Amino acid sequence: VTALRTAAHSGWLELSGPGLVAVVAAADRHRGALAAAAERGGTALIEELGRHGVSQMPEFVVLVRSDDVVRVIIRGGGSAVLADGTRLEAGGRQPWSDRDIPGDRVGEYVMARAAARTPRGWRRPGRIERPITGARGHPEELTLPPPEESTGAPPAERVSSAPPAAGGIIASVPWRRPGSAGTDRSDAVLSAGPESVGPSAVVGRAEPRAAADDVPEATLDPRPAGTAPTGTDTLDEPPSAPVAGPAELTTDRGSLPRVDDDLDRPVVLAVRCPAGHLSAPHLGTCRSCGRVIPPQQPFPTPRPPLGILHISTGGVVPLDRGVLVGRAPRVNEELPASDRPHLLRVGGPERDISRNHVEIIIEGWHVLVRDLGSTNGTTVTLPGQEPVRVRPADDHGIEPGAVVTLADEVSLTYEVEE
Amino acid sequence: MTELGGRLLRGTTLRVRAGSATDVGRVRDHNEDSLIAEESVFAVADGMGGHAAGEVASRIVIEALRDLVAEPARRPDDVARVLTEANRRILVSQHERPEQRGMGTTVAGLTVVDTGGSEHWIVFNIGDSRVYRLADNRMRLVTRDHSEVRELMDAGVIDAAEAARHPLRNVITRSLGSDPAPTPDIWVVPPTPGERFVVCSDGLSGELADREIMLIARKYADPQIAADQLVSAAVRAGGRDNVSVVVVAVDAGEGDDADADTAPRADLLRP
Repeated sequence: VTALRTAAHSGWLELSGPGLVAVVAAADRHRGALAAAAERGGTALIEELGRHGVSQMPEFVVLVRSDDVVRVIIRGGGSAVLADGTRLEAGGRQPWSDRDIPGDRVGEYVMARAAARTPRGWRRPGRIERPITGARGHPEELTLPPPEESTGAPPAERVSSAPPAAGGIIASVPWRRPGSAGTDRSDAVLSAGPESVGPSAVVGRAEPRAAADDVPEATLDPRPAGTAPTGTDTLDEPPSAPVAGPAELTTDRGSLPRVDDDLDRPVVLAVRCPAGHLSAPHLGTCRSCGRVIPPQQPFPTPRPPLGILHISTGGVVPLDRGVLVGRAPRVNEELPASDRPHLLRVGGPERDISRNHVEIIIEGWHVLVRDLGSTNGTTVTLPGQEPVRVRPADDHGIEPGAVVTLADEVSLTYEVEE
Repeated sequence: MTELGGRLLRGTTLRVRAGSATDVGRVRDHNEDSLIAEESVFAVADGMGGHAAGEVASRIVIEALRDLVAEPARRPDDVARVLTEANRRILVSQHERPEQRGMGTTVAGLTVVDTGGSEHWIVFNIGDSRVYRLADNRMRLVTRDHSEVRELMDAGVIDAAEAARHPLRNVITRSLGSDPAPTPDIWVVPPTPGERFVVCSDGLSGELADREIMLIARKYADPQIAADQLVSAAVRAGGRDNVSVVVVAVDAGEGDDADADTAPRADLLRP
């Protein structure tokens, strides 16, 4: 009997149903609907994939076994690989290619494989070719000769909490399915008999870098949590070669839908409470609503905002990034936009508050207070405790309910909102 | 100062003036960009989608932002809330009219929020429209494109020159018109005297080098003239896409002494 297998990586879903397996370039939130359709068979799955019209269908590879034939349906850049190494591709056929492979040709297995690297996102339709000018990159620093007097305080020195860029794109992919660590490479091979395979059977390494760096206290078990992979496919083109990839990935994707997994925000390991709030893995009760968190496998996810700072002189600032607070706060503009904190101006004309007075730093799930050598000092009052003076450059962890007071004049209260 | 004009930022002595301009460009037959530059709301939206649906999407988000003119954000979340509402309206419109399926839009801009006793800027973006800030003879990109090439550049896979001709350069990774709603990037920053913001669609940033943008943006004191000149420069340079620009100028009033030294206080604890 021919086995049906799948090999996918981030951005692709692996599905199975009676006598069929599939890989689909879709975000994880579509898993439920697609898995349900797969249970009803190949036609139902194709129908679900085409729910928004044929032109909006994502890339996919669907394998359906019937009697002595394996039907191979491919849209986009995926492929089906036979046991003897033969590769079947859509070859640009629109809207998909569809062929029957006799069982004796297929051999012992056939595998549905995701494309080497799928561009996430949405190619804008009909966009005109741009000139090759270099006009569209990141700006170099643009500086004109300074005026006579160079105004302004030196930028605040700030230690970036971001981990160093780690190993290229793939290593920075944060999304993994809850409850099952994914793999960087498409080497999660499933032996996909209809009896055995569900998404939860996917095994592999835990995301090594981003999550580990962001959550120092979390223990990432590098070993597979469930069964070991049944085999490792010999990859004829390593998917970890994104440089070479994009050139081939450009055709016929004009109308593919967006796969909007968000790689932009810092990633943390999290557990989910019954109300859906995210908390740090070591917590027994939800940081937002206090409900007991049921035992579960922590999963990596873009970090949610940790709460707000309520300012005594009015207003709030969200703790989705750090906050630099002062009378005239200035940030080190070398910092990339993603690492740049909110800048909050506080204080009256008495000038008790320093230009760069205090910084609220977010690291993983921790909120830290760092006095930037302010003239009149900073105190932290944790709930139910006496105020403590923060030593300059000493990071002071705070908890919800804590009050940070600048020069006895302005205070910031760290609150978690449900 | 003869005619000051503009709007005074609450809690400061700073005055805000703005100008805006948009052009269909030389190649496209209609303009799918929309923009707003009113009171304290400044934004550009770059719509996408066939059958003129792009204009519908970009107009929806700009109309949603217009609500912030009458009722300014009371907290930074309010901007995210308005954009989520805009996203919902786009989805509803898509649902009601099949020809609008798949339409979407970017948005980038700035508005104000009263926080810590004075008005602060909230800079926001979704997609690859941009907000630049000019200050102290420098120009910096404040926002971060949500685009495939920007991620490739961050990862060190390609450099700026490669990004400009990269086959994925038009792929954006966040846009309004998607379900679930995209999360906007938001930065809270205090206004500072002398600063200028350039809010633009990629019809500007894709056509002109950043240095050209900076030189034009700072050359003209009147932000309206600066906006006009930026747009016409982008059209002259090729105009391959719709071009939209809002220029916001923050001018110093009198008595702004934020840079004066901090006064030590005798009655406070010393470390």
